[in-house]
This record gives sequence, structure tokens and C-alpha cells, in this order.
Amino acid sequence: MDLTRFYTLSEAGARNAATALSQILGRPLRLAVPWARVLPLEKVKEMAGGESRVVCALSLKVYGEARGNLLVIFGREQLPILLDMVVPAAWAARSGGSDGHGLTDMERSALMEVGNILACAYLNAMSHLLGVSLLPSIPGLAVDMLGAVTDHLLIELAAVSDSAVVLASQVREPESGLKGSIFFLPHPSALAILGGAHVRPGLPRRAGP
Amino acid sequence: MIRLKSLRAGELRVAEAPARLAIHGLGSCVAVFVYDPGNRVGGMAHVLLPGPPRHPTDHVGRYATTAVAAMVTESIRLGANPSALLAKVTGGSRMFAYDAGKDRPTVGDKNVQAVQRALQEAGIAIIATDVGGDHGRTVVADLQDGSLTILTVRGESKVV
Repeated sequence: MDLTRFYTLSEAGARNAATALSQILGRPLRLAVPWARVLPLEKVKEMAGGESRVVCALSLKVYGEARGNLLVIFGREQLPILLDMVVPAAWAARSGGSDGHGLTDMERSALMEVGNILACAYLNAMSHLLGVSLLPSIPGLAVDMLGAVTDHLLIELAAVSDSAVVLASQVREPESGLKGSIFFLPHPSALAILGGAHVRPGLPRRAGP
Repeated sequence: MIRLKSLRAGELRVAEAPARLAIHGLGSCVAVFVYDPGNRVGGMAHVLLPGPPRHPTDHVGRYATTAVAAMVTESIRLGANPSALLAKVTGGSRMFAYDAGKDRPTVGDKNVQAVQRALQEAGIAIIATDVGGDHGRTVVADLQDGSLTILTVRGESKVV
């Protein structure tokens, strides 16, 4: 399978997501080199640091002409940094840290909004390149082991395939050390559209001004 | 020597005491532990789907139906007495709220039901169950004493 186009899509999506988050946070974000790989199903859980790693995961279903699953992941240790950025007043007023389980409604909703923004920006860029619609569901939020928050991806794929195409990218905020990863796992039925479709030249451009 | 083997998604292993079998970060998948306490042999499977598979498959651990059947056969090969086999079942969580409507069974529920059905058909009694919820589990099955240790990221720990 030629992964060049997947790589192009992954990069375009990640760049747009980084731009969007950067504008919301008012800080410059860096984009780590994205990758696109075909992994045997049993190796998918190793993609983001191993099954036991505790993460804050935002999971979205992708509907439209090319279906799939999006997963936005921050390490649990990143939660204080992220919450301090997105809900600074509420976070500062809070006594004690958060390990992810005592999240307030406002914190949960802020994190889901971050997932939403990243996912929409990511999918918009891809959608633009491909000329097909990609629509995200509302995000689900869980703070748990990476293995546990990726089971549903494997279950969906295992019914039809032995391998997974994984598009991955990482955004970083150098000053605070905030790091987030975005994974897109297209459904096998979407691979023809994503991998074989004509990619419009000269795109993507950065979103926003 | 005490051996600890970790199972990946869809994997199945049988072993004898003093081995331990582990699954790290179990979500909506199901862990089935089948063992013979007398002979201290048994196996565990990390089941992804209810099954049965549409086509014959090499991935017997992936489906509830084929995983239970294979564990019974393999355990007997290791010296288990088929009529002494007992089972413990865990996993089947609903990790994300959007997974399904409140009343509709989730993928986790379906996996649990399929595993219970497969065990019942194989005539294996389920002596411990810890399923559902909205959290992940790390599980360790010990062939030495037949215990199944379940840990969560909230710091909960139980032995069934």
C-alpha cells in the first residue's frame, strides 16, 4: 500500500489542528513529524507508549464519505498543563492537583472542547484535500490506560481486517512542554477514498489569518 | 522460575503453574480465564469479538466462541481434567459515553454475553465475574492458586 497520500493527509490535518489550538491558546505550537503506517492489529496499542500508559483520551467517530476513528491523546501528567491553559481561572482556584479522576464538569467539558477543536481542524484539512465530507461525532472522554481506550478501535477493525492504517501526528507547546497526539484510523472501507483519491495541488494552507 | 506472559489483543495462551498470564489495559474487550485448580493448568484469552468468525481463522483468541473452545482443548493437552475446568470473566467496559444509548447493549456487553454463552455450552462454571463499568482493567491470572487480580487506574485492586 502506498502510504504517501496518507502521510500528506496526516500532515495537513495535524498542521491545521496545531494552528487552531495555537490560536485558542495564544501560544505557538510545534508540529512533530507525522507518520502513516500499516500495523498488525495486535500492535496498534503500542502506537502511543504502550498499553499501561495512563492517558487522557478523547475519542471521536468520523462519519461522512470516509469513516473512521479519531483519538486525541495527552499523557495524564499533561493534564495540569492543559487545564491551566484552557480554564486558567477555574484551575488556579482549585486546591490540589488533578489526576484525571476528580475532573470537574467544567474541566471535562473544556477538555472535550479541545478534542472537538483539534478533530474539526484536522478533519477539515483532510476533507478539503480530498473533496469529501468528514464529520466528527461529539468526543468521548476517558482518563485511563491506553490499552483500555483503544479497545473499541481494535474491535471495530477486527471484524473486517487483520491490520490497521494509522495516521499519527503530534503537536507540542515548547514553553510548557505540553504534548498531544492525534491518531486517525480510517475504516477499511475508507482506504480507497483516502489513499487513492486525487489530492488537490497547492493545499493545504494554514487555517486562519 | 515464575513466568509472567502478557497477552496482546486477540491473543490466547495456556500455561501451567507457576506461570502468570496478564492483560494490561483491558477496556471493552473481555478476558476469559479458564483453569483446572487441581492440576494447576489453564489459559487466558483477550477476546475482541463475540464470534463465531465468518471464515475459519488463525486468530482463535479473537472470538469468544473459538477462544473458549481452543482454551479447553489446549488446557486438556497440558493435563487439565475437562470436567474440573472453572472460569473467571472480566472486562467488557464502556469506556466512552457515546458508545451506545443507555439501554442498548455495548460492544463490551455483547462480548461478555458471548463469552458466558460459550462457557455455558462448554459446560464450564463461571465462578467469578467482574464486568462492565466505565474503567479499564489490568488483569493477572495466576495458575499457581487460580486467582485473578484486577487493577484499575483509580487505584482499586481486587482478587477474585
